[in-house]
Amino acid sequence: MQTYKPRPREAAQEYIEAYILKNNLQAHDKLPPERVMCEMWGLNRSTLRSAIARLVAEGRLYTREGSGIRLSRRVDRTLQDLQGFAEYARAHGMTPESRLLNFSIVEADRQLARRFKRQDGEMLYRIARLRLLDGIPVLLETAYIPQALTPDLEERDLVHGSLFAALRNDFRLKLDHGWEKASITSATPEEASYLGIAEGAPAFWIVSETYGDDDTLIEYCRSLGRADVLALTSTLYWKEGEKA
Amino acid sequence: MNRSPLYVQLREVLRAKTDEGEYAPGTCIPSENQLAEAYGLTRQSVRSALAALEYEGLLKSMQGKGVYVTGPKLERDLETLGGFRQTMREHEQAPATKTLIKALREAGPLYAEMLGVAPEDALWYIKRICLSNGEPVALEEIFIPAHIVPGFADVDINVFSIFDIYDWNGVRPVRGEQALTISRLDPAAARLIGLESDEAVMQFSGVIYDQDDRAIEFSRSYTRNDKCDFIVHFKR
Repeated sequence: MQTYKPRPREAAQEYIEAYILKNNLQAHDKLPPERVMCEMWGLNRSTLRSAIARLVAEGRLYTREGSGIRLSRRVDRTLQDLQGFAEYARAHGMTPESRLLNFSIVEADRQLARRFKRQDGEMLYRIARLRLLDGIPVLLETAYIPQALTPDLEERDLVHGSLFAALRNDFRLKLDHGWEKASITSATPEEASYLGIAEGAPAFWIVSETYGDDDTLIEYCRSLGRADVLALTSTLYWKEGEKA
Repeated sequence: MNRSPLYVQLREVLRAKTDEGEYAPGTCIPSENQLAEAYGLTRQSVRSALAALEYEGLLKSMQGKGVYVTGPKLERDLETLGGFRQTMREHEQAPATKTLIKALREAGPLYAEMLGVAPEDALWYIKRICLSNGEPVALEEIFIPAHIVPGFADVDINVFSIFDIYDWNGVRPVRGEQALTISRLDPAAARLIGLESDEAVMQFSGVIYDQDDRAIEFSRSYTRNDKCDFIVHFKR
């Protein structure tokens, strides 16, 4: 029987991650000093350092000159619910903030018209917002909503109030189903400056469509998300009658 | 009415044209010069828009030949258990995996904690490459407590899926919890899936639970961004 023994660096990485789990370390909590970790797990310094470097590359840890090795902040965003950003933040004890970057009414070009199954030139609201959690920019969102569905949307408070709440309560729209798709893009200089990341840095590229119960497309949204902060989570279920 | 910078708009225009098939897979898009002229942009801005789309895997530039539209990416859904094989089946592509390691190992402190076993318990450790049309798409690592799948040693996992093996053992995978993050591979691992070391990959980490709510598997995979998107549907 073939057996596998993790290489020293892998083993060191597992010790560190197990330590984080067992001690329930939270964002910005500090790991013990390198010397202590080496003694605790019987590792040499260079093995430990290369494990830390891997965990930094994976975004689990960060280091600051003179302040040790700390656990990165991670914001979990559930892809499956229709909970808005602000609702999510409050439910997780974080302070949401929204900066309205652009609110305009645009004519649907051919691509947007086709997406919304509307006529070319129909008016759409275009809402660009920067979403922050505890003061850290996390998402740069651009949403499109047909003006026909939400007349005088410009009079709503989209900075303090939730857009989804306004759609539901003020316009009686039933947000019913949709999809969200994630990939990676690289941030352009402007996007990078909003999100506080390096130009060209990888970022989540998230596109979503939200439909009403009558299958009308209500919102089409494109977001750029910080790779070093955001995790996209979901629960998977077994589909009956299918065999993988 | 303020507007996004022009190269961001160009990126959206090109993205829409590839999405909607106006630029068909395999065709060459207009040159940098033509795009610069058509949209009144500098070549540098055009290049910035093209670079982002190349990064997303929508375009591919061929030295000296121009920039081509690539075929549709795989979509891996984030709501159905079934893993890579199911994704491939839904795309009518033959799933293929190349197993690099299939061996028993000690759980150790981390996987013991994650899978609810003792650190000295045995786990099956699988490291493999997932291929689509013969091209590597993802590098996957799977950890399964050995007592859950007796007889695993004798099964060829390049022929049968791990879900088949659960089935034979009366284990029903019912639910999975996953997280998707952006990560980078070390150079040796990146080479296994045909990447330069500094390219970002999607890291998928998840635990699967069975009918008794027992953790039966932890897996971690690194997927090439230019080959695959992740999608989830939601319903209120």
